[in-house]
Amino acid sequence: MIPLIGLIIGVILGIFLKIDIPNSLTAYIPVAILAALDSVFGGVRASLEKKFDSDIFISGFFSNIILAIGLTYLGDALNVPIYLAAVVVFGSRLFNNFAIIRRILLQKGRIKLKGKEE
Amino acid sequence: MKKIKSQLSLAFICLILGFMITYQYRLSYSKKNIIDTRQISDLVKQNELLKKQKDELEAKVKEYQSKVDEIEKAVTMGNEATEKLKIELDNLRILSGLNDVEGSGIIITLSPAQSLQSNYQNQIYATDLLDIVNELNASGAEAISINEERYTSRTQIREAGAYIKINDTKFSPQDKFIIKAIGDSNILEGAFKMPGNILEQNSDRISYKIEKSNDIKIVKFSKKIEYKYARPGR
Repeated sequence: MIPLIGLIIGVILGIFLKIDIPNSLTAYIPVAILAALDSVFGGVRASLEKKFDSDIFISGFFSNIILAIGLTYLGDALNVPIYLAAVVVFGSRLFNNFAIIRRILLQKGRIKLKGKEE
Repeated sequence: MKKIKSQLSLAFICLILGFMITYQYRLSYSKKNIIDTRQISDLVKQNELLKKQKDELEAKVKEYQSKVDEIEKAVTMGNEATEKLKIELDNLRILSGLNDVEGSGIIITLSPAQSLQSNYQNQIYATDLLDIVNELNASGAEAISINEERYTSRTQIREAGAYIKINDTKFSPQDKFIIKAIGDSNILEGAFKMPGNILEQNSDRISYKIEKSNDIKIVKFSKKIEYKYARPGR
């Protein structure tokens, strides 16, 4: 519940706060978003598996973002689209994590159903 | 306790995520950013590079100009005939816009008026600028510049595509135009105070501000002048 409130506050901040990120940095936001999404999905999965550790989660979140942005910057400097690597890896991990979350939820649902039948 | 802490950390990160996503969403749906963000960063880089180059070249021009001045001074020292020639040369330079000049005059600031209909954007036309320059010349302006572009005998003011070109420099017609003129500031100002003057005629399209000043600096014409066809005649 608390994370959801956080998300809503973030969205509201994004709508109403007039922060100007310099134009030269706007190219990095999409990659950062992907990294963040990946971390969040990873966190949800870990908490469903009851292995959630907030230190690992937070450090993973920030290091993912920093690495993704660093790769993008390096790619820009070398004129090689390395950001594609970040996009592909984070994308595939997103789908993986989502699949695992789905499985866990389904299993939980089945166990509950069985409990009701008995 | 531990659970609350972990929930709070998740909430914090969701906050950042939500902020980034909405920011990016807003960015990509605002009108300004139809161009790809990657293109923008490239263009920004290019722009910075070109600005740097321009600054360097301008510094060089200044350096050479001071050298030329020194040489002229050295040559004309102590000789009456050449000193007179030097004065003549300086006057001709002012006439042709090859010297920075300063003195009293007026500054006219033009900007497109905010239209009552929200979608329609007013703009300034090249003919407006031409009319004003003409009026200034008629009132005895000795030097004129528009947005730091010196008005010379070979200055063109025309619309080129979406821009207004002055001395081959492009300006957006939706932006402010600052016209500086050196001359008798009362006469110059009077030209735009008469009933039915050009600024008043167009005041529904253009909002303007006229300032008198005793200390106006007008930069020189900075492009190269070449004559291919005109030769001095008898």
